[in-house]
Amino acid sequence: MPRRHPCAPRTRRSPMAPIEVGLVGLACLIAAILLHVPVGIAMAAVGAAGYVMLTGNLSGMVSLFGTETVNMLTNQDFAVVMFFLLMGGFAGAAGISADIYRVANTWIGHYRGGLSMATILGCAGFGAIAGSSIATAATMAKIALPEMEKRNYALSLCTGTLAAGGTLGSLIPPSIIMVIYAVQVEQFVIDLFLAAIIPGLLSVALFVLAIRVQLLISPHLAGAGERIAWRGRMRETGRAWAPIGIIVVVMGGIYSGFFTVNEGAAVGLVLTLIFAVARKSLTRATFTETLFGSAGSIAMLYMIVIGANIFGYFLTLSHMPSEVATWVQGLDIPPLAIVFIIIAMYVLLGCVFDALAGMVLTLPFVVPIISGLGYDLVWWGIVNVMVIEIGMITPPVGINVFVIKGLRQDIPLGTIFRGITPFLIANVVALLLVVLFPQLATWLPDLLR
Amino acid sequence: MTLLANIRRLAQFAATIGLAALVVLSIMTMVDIAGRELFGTPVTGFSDISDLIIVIAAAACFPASLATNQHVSVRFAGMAHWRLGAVLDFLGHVIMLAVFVLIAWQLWVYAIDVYTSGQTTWLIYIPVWPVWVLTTALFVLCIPVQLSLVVAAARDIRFSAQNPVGMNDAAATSVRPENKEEPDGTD
Amino acid sequence: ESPVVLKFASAFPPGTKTNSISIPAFIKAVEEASEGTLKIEHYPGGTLGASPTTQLKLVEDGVVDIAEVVASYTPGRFPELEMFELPFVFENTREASLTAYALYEKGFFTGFDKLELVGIAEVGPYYLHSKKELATVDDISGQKLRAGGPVQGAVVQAMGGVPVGGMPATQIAENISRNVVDGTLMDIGNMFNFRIADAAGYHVINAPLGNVAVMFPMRKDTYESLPPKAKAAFDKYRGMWFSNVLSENLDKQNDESAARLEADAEHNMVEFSDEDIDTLKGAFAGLKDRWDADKDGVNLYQEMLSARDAVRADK
Ligand code: NA
Ligand code: NA
Repeated sequence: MPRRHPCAPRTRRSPMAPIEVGLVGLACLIAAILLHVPVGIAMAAVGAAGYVMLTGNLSGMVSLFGTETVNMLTNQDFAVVMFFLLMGGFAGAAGISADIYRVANTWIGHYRGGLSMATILGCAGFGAIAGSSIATAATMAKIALPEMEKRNYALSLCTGTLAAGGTLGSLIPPSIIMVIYAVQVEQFVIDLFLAAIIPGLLSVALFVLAIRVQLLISPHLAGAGERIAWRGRMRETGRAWAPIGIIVVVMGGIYSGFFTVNEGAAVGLVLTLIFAVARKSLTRATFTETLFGSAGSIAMLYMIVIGANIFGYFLTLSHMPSEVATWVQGLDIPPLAIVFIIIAMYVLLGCVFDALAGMVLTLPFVVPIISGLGYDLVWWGIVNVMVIEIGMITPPVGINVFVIKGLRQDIPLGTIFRGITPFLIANVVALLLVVLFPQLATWLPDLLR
Repeated sequence: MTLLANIRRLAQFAATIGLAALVVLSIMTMVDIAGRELFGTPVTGFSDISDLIIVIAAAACFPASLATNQHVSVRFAGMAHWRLGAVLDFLGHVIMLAVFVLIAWQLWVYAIDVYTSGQTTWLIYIPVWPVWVLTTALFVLCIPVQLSLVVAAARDIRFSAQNPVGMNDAAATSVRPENKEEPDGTD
Repeated sequence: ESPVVLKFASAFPPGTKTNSISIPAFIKAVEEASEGTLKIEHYPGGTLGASPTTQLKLVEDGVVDIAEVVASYTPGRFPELEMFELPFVFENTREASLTAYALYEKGFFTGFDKLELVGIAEVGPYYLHSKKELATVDDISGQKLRAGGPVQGAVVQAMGGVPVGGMPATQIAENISRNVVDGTLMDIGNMFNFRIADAAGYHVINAPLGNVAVMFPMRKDTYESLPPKAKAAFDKYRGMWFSNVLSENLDKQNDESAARLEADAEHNMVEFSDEDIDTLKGAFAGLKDRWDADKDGVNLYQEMLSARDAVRADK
């Protein structure tokens, strides 16, 4: 058979217009994902099929599987997810989450619902080491859930706190989602980390407020612990010097410019490993288990981005993203309204869809619109992460909720979702504030740029 | 099934070695930072080596991720009926197998290309082809691993029919947690 | 009859001079001359292939038809183009680009067996930019400087610096501000595009340190298969015409950036003394030997110099 010529197939284009092929492809993708095909694989397969539909270029399509795999494997910016995932894994194995939780508890455990608030602070603290929400939710649940149950906290409050608090794992830097966003949108990840600090602290404050307000309305949900004396507080805090030190060295080093993000992640990985070994909490078995568990997450994240990039060729050739952007810019609607419409669509998508995949998939559409409207793409990255967090705790598909459910099969899903409601309100308020006052996100990176 | 067991062990071994290499690289990075900050002596070509290690470490994760079936899929439709779920799982695994065959094949093509064009690293001229041959090998290893999942998923369709409870040997040997916990890092 | 459609891709942002002015000008000229037989779709910003390092592969695989390829991203693939990275040969982008195209037309470049060159921009000259104070050549000693390829690495070493490689241009600014490197070689036109101006305040502007090839290749079989009318239009504007447009716009960008730096009190435009320039030239003397020798009856280095002089005389 003669070699297929790259120009030749153009005369045999598919009978449909590119946009129509694009719409069919998008529908197929969503169907494939709902029909059990893993997200990254679905994007790669549907993207490749759509590419052939549009171009007739079979050899070109096949080559993309090599090109995009090579691109991602050699992408130094993306490689940082490996370091952060391993660091989070070792930190969990070393019991750092328990340290942070205990410290928080000695300071605020005597308030009504104190354990719940300590859980939020613990999530935030562990989130400053770990890069993922699910790892944060799972790690903290193992520690905080038994404690809260011991004190007869309502199950809805316990599980709601953990599912919502877990989302801080990706809003408080370091954050895997932000790395992926930065790589896909070609922004500096350090800018995103800096931009997330104030919205992250704001979310923590609003979560704590949500617990307080909730307990004012229904005090029976939780009791108060005993007050710990100052000396006890200082002692407990002093015992947690290692995790605090690691956070200070790693994130402080990155923000102050002592080393790059990649170097900071490598240093953090070594420090947590040393700490785990010194504490004798890292056996050979837990070491390989951590490596093995991280390997699964790492490959899956790589596959999602490889798949998204292959799908990206198809999307571009369908001209859908550019047409949508042109159409939106032609609308006689204020920019902020467009932003809110996009956010509303994301929230709906996040109810039934894997939120991260939803972001990666829609970036080619949304980024031209957002930058076309003159908005800052770092700010949009933070908004995006906050929207994804909401998707992780909204019914019916909320990954963080499933994590808790996976650990404790006896708790009904309804109980968890009921417990989430106050935190969901807090999340929406935080999101509104960041959307309406972009300075909350842009101020720090601008200051240090 | 000893062959399959050995392949799985190999996958686990690859991931452990690959990520252990990443830990070693992190230690080297710390040494490099110390050298840079304390003595002003960066190691020439350090980045050349670190870039190559990162490629292998990331690639080494793939066989293991398949062996433990860690790729996120939304098991929505399958909730309707167990057999529908089993059939969909099977199809999903077949598509996944096809994708990994294409990746392994094209990585081999790329490995040959960098070999023939004599491509090297930026500063200290390390030939890059051995890294890509190894990377190709790691993705080739994915194929039997994924093939075993396809076979197991096909059995699930049949065996589940005979045994509606859904408990069967294939599921037990294939290490496929049905109500699997979501892996960490999917967010 | 429907026109032949070519996909013209660039991994660089839509706002660069090349993507916003030069490529659209080329497309417009060719399409008009083709009288409807040729249509060129422009895909800037990496929408068809985001990684700058695999643009050549995309062309070779037939995924895109023409792409913006930085030759030094594939060390060893286009050996003769590395010669343009030699210091003190070219004064601007235009003369280096037209020289390169002239040598290509004479068939001196290898690596093009299956490729046709649509245009080339030899971006530069590169200059030394540093965070640390610079007044003399001695000040370079021991500085860690980002090098964009093997020849630049040798240039840095010859100046007494320590070359640091494997760093994408987008990471230079961050790495300078974090002391991973002290400075970089870079063309002035890209100082603001990559935010390097925020990190490095000293710029040596009288020691041109070589030009870097950015080329626009196309598969030969695709080119040969163009219908006659389309091919004639394409031939009219590819090569010299396109290379000229590309390089004139890049030189304009060089001038604008230089003016911006000069107007900014935070920036120091450094000029080495004549003795220092002579010291540098002496240190660089051996670098050209690879090319300044008869190979199959051709001395490529001398060919480059005479082609350059012809371009200079022609202006
Ligand atoms: Na985090
Ligand atoms: Na949801």
